[in-house]
Amino acid sequence: MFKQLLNLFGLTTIEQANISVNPLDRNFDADDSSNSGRSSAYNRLRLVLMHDRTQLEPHVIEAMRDELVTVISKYIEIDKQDIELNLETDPETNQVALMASIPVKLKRDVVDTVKDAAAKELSELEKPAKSKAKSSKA
Amino acid sequence: MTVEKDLMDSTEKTPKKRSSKPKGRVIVVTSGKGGVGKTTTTANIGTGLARLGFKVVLVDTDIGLRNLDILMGLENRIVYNLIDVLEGRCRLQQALVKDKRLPNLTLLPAAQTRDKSALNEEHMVEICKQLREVADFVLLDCPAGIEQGFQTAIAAADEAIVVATPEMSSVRDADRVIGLLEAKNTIEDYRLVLNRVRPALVKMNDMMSTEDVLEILSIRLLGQIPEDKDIIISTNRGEPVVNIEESISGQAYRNVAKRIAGEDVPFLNLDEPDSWVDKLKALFKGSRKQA
Repeated sequence: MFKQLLNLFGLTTIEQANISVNPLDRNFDADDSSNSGRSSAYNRLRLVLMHDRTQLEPHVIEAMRDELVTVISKYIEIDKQDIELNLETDPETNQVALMASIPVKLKRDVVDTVKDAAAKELSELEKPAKSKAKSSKA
Repeated sequence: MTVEKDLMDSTEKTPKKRSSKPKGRVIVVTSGKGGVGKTTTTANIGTGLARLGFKVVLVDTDIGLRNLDILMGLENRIVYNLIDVLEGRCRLQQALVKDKRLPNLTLLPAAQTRDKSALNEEHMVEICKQLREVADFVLLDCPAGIEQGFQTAIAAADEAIVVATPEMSSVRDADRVIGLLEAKNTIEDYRLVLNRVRPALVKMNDMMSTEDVLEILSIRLLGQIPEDKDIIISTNRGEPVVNIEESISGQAYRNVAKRIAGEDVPFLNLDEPDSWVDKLKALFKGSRKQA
């Protein structure tokens, strides 16, 4: 804040003269819209390079995902819909890792009762909204 | 190979010192993707090093598509070329074209009427072995692509300069090249020259920043060169922009040359001065974040 105040009046601190090289700043702010040209180029490129570097095509990862599901399901009940399998790079070591997030299902009856209750609540909330939308259209 | 020891002639002034002097460094300038500024970078870094007083030889290894001669403004002075040397039509010394201004800077041009198969890796190693005896720096301008022409150019190099622009396709190709350079254990070091940086676009979050590219490629930065109309103008005049004192891209290249020579030069601030509105915006943004 102090530095920015100085800057506002055309003054710079020594420190700032060294770090204010804008193209070298690598933090697109959290409030920066994620569909900016800069961040989408950055994110798309990371993904492309991970496939390039591992020489894994996206469809190979899909196949691997399916096989993993089959194997793991033999031992534990998992939520097949919400499995995430991604290649990620550690920015510091540049080591590529295969990251899997595999949600494990709780005992079926517990999950189902919770789910049912949630679904009921949702449908009750949505109903009036939907009918309203319809009536306004007509 | 009849290149023999012709080049020894050029060091006749100090024949005794030569044996104690460390041999010159062979640096290949490469990018994978074409059109990102390899040849411009070679011409400017080479000229920049020569301006610092080093003996520099620029070698155009892009057989059949030579362009380094044009960027140096030497296209009318070429008599012999690299292939003529290899095939015994002239001595290496005869093929070296002297720069217009700097007596310690020479160009070894590529053959324009031949194809890449005329030059192989052993040829390259042999030529560079002789050039590094007489020069402090041998800069090799590599052809685009990662096929044989690239493999030939990197065969003799100790170091590499990877040139890229902050665009997805260029960075992706640079990543491939870096992988190939890493696999080559004769290459001791490589660094990135990021070309055509547009700070205004980075500021607007419309373009990847230098730091974004460095992080993605996990490579060290040798220099960032701003997009600059001076480069077009000077190229048309046959004069590397590094010779134009008041040019910002010229300054960036002069800094790169110093870094290669071992000097610790801070990276250029490419920012245009902030307008009042920008400063106000930044002020509000900053205070919001702290809150």
